[in-house]
Amino acid sequence: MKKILILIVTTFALSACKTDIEIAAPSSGNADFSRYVALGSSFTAGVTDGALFTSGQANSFPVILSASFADAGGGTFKQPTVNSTIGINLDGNSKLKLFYETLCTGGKDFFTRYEASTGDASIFTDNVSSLGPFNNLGVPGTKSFHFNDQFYGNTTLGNPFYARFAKIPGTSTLLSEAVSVNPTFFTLLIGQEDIYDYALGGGSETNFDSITTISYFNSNVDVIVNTLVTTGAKGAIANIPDPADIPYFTTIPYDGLVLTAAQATQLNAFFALDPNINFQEGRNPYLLRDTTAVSGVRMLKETEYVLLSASYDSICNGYGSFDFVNNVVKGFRDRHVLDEAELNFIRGRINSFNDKLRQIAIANNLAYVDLYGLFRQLNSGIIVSGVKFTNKYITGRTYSSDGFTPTAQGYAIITNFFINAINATYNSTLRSVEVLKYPALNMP
Amino acid sequence: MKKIASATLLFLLIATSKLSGGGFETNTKTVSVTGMAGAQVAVPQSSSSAVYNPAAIGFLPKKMMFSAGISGLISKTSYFETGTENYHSAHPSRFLPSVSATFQINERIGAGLAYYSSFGYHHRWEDNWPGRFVTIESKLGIKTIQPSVSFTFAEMFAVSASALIHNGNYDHRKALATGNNEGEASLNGKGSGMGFMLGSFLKYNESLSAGLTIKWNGNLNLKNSTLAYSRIPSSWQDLYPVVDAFDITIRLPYCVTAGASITFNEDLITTAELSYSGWKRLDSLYFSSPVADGGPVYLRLNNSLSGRLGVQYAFVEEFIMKGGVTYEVSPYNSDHVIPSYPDANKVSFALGAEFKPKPQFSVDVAAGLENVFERKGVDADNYFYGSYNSTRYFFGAGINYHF
Repeated sequence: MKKILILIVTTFALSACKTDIEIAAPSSGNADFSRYVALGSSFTAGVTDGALFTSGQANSFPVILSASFADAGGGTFKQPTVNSTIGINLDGNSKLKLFYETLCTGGKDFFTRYEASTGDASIFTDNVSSLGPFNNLGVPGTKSFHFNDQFYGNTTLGNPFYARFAKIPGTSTLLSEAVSVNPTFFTLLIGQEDIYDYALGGGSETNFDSITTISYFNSNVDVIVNTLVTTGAKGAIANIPDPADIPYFTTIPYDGLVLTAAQATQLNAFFALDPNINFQEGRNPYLLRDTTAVSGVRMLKETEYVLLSASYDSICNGYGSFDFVNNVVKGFRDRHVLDEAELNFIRGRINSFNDKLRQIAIANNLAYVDLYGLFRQLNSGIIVSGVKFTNKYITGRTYSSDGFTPTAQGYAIITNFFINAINATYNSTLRSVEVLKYPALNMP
Repeated sequence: MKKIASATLLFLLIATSKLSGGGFETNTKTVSVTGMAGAQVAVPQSSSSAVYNPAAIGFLPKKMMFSAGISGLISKTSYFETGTENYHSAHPSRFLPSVSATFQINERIGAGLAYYSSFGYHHRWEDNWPGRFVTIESKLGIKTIQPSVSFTFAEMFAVSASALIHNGNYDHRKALATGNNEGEASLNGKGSGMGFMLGSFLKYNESLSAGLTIKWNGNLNLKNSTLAYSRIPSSWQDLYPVVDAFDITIRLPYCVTAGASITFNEDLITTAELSYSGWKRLDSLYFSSPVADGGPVYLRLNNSLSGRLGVQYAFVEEFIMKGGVTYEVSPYNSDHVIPSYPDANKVSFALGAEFKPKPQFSVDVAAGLENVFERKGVDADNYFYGSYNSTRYFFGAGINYHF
């Protein structure tokens, strides 16, 4: 009996010892993260809420990624920091502030206003080039042909976001800045501005701007990637998402024009000579200015997008429909809409660009980050530690108030996509970042 | 015999890795049996038979027996984020009273009445821990009143029937991702349920006895539950309307337990038993109406087995030592580890002692620990990854009186 008791007591004591859970150490695998440079545009720079400002930049995806790199041999990661709470964008505007107020329709919804009357222009005059070289070479507005453009850093003709930190303004390029770091690893987000500068402007209203040609894009990508890999660097290249998966294009429904029976009758009488326009009580497509249409406007199609730039303020003032008081048609301007032709043009380029990006990633054994797939997945949602992220405007938690750039948590999700692709390509064991510790939106 | 007992104990320690059971069924239902790790279905010894196998009431040593006690549970559950060294812990504690009484009405018929905690758990994490959007605090407590009647057919065999009258509450609290100002959701429900238990007891001879119980716990129906939200920004309040007066159904597991005991002499009793628990009934918590960020909550449980071994030895008539071990493999699916109850295979060890200052009166004390082994996994519904392990300390004190 005593032996039994001794056995029980001994086992009792042994079992009280705490089990230590072993944590796998992060490793770089076949990659070397000691000198990491990030090349890209708005996403890489850390633009959020429509502008570049201090706290947004502090949570850019390369910063978040570099923190994971740091556990696997990564070195310091330096950004051309801006010192501003309201920030600025290329249009000179400040960051946006979110509101939730009653609309003309009677319901409440989210909309934005600029946080200040103008952006903080001191950012552009605050030259920080002496603090370089920088690891984050993300510059808002950068298209594929800007990376190797020496005039892009020109203080008067170039991009002011780059000019403020260019090593030799008017001479050095973003690509030469990257090479000067002697990078061991790079991330490249290229082509987004080529596509979305066009798409965010509603397409080709003025034909002033269009999307980079496929051949020009391909040659730019070849130069950039070949230059970087020639240094011996490994890296990750991300592809380009579709506008269907970005709330800037999908938040305002094409058929948000709600009419009473009397209003529908009045409009049908007004457009009696146009056989393509027919209103009914309830939801109706908005109207778009179209010089080829009989009445100068046409009804939007289900496949077309009203952009977030056609704010509810405008819609409440009759835009997209009809001014019943003054009996005036107020169709949306083309810059507030992506029509079918423009979307087909955009998607054709996205497909071509993404093909190129995938091919060059494979050819150079680089990680290929499927942002297109990630953003598509956000339609159904991605659940992170009990929180569902979708591409729904504001309540989807992924995108910032501008409807295009992510929140810090959205950037963290993107970072984890990079980490997954890098680990899969280079047999590294980078740790995923904790998405929910990063800032979310400031909700009204 | 001692070698057999030692070997049996080792067998349970090692071979029961293929057994499973447990879940959040309370193992410390009465103090006098806690010291034997709850192995009592085949041991007619105290009024605890009113809980574990009322068919044994007719074989108890005294006509009227009464016990009362209280058990305490102190838990520490550790969570480690996947891929990091970040560590978080939960430290809830619970106190569980129990009362049991048995009465042999005549040679054939006996009656029992017991009140105890049948199921429960409590996990309370830090408000800012990474899993706060899944759970901050989750608590289930079910108290059961069990009236029983037993019928002894012959000197060696008896059967019993019991009603299980459950009363319980379920509370769950978690954070809501409503921007930088996080909100909170709080689900509260109270309710009752009914089940039954059938028992049989065989006293083969003075040394060997066996017991078999079938317990159908039924459902716990939480009526008029409420889901309330707090700290929700005004712009999100339409998404989170308060929902009240809905029902939650918790399907409790059934359980079949078979055990045997060997009395070597007047001083030494050993017992072993196996339980098969139908935890699969509780595959989810069902909500009667849809609620934002509410149910159903999928648990994906499996049916399971558990094994227990108990031993007691009377050094002198006034002092009895007890010991026991339990091994349970979690009914929780290995690919679905939920932080509100991060269950895993577990082993528990118990020690107890009974002092008899007077022939009719005795005092029981018991203590032990339950080691919930490390489990690494994901909450498959919430994509919350991590590793958990838990240690629970239990202790109790009670009194026994017989007439």
